[in-house]
Amino acid sequence: MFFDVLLIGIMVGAIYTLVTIGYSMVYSILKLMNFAHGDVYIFGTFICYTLLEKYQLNPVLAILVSAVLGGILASFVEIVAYRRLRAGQHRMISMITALGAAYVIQNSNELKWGNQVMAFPSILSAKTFQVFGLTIPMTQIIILAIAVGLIILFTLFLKYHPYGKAILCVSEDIPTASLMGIPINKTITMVYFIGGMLGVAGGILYSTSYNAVSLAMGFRGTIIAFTAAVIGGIGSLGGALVGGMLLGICENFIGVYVSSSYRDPITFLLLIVILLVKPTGIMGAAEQTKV
Amino acid sequence: MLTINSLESGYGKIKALFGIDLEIKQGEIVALIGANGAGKTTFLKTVSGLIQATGGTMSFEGQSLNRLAPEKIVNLGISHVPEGRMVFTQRTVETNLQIGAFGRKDKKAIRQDMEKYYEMFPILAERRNQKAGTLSGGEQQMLAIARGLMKRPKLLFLDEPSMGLSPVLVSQIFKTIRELNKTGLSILLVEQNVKKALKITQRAYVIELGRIVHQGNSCDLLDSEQIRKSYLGEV
Repeated sequence: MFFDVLLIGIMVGAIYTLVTIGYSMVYSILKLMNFAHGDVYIFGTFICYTLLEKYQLNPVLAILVSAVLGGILASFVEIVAYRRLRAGQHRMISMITALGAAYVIQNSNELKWGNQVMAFPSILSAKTFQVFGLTIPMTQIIILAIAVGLIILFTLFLKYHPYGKAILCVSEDIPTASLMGIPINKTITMVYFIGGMLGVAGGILYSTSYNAVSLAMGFRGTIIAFTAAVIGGIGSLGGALVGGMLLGICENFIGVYVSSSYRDPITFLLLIVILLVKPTGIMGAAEQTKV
Repeated sequence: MLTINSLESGYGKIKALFGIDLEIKQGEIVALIGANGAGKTTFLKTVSGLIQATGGTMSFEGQSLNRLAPEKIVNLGISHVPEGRMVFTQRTVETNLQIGAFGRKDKKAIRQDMEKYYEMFPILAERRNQKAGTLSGGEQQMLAIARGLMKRPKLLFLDEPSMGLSPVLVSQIFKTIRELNKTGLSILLVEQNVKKALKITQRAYVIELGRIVHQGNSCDLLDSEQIRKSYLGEV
């Protein structure tokens, strides 16, 4: 029992990490709370649902198409609602346009797909296998593998690809990065695109493991990403991983051993306690301000 | 090579430059000197595109720089080593150099350039895998210059390279600057260390409150009584 809960917790944690990465990267570059993040990922998940249910598309293809569409929507939101406000405007302004973008996408999603919980097709093998007398469901292992694989891929991209390094430099210092010849607008759009894609991947994995997709999961996604990013230390990849994992594992243990109705209150109590003890988050360093 | 005519710019409604004329010819090393707040850094930032010009014209090798984004200007061949070094402190020395070569496709030549600057600044080679934030001020300045050179610029802007460095290091940096100029690189040096700047440059401009108030050969300015009084603290 304990092991089952832990395994599901780790799987959910890996999914949360995927959803958190895009949110956290955007924050680290622009110090902007991207309220539209969760609504973008649920849009991609709905697209995947339609492709699978209505058009019986091959699952791999369906996931790819919806991740790319999610990425495009995320970059579109950046170009339309945030870009013009980047230079010289108070951060509060772009936070409001972010909120506006979130509502526009959310309501469009609702018009198309409604606000009911729908059954998301299970696209993975339902087989189980035995290790040391424990029954392990194949689905969770595959989901975990995909999520971890994507996280590793993104880490390698940041570390070794010229544009990955460019993203890190832009998040450290935009003017100096532009003096290096890094195209700032293009780089930021790319961050939104990748963040949207990873978010959609997370959304699909989540929906297929719980066999459900609903409008409300979008808003919850934004909250999860925000919380995981802040607990872990906002702006860093390691922080997203630690925050996402902690949130996923805690949630599952509380849900099983206490009660699922206490899941959110206790989880968010944890957020408050962690931040009171370490305001920069678990992996976060104090932000350096220029004097 | 670089021709600036009646350049005006500033920050929002506050004007900082009131019609600057300046020229740099191929292979020259030119100083721009002046007190704190005179507009030296604003001038460099305007030419490299970080601040939008509000009037006047700027051209580099016949190409207009007005309204170009910084990343376009650096690709034309003007590298700007900013005031305060501004290395990427969270990245390694090596990554800082690689980022300096952003957009270049000749991987082999990039590697060779990197080795060249490791040879020029051996301390950087020693620390190539350290985060740039762990370097001393002088080491960061060397890194910032090497990073600026990784783009293979035709013209190099140096904004106060001697700031906050010990006298020994200052001499070393100035020696490096002169050697770089001897390889054919054109340089615009912004300095508060007026004496040293005039000694290694051919020509100089003196800026005061956003206007050029003197210009001429550096050695003549060094002998000028007025310059000695205002900038060298001599009576």
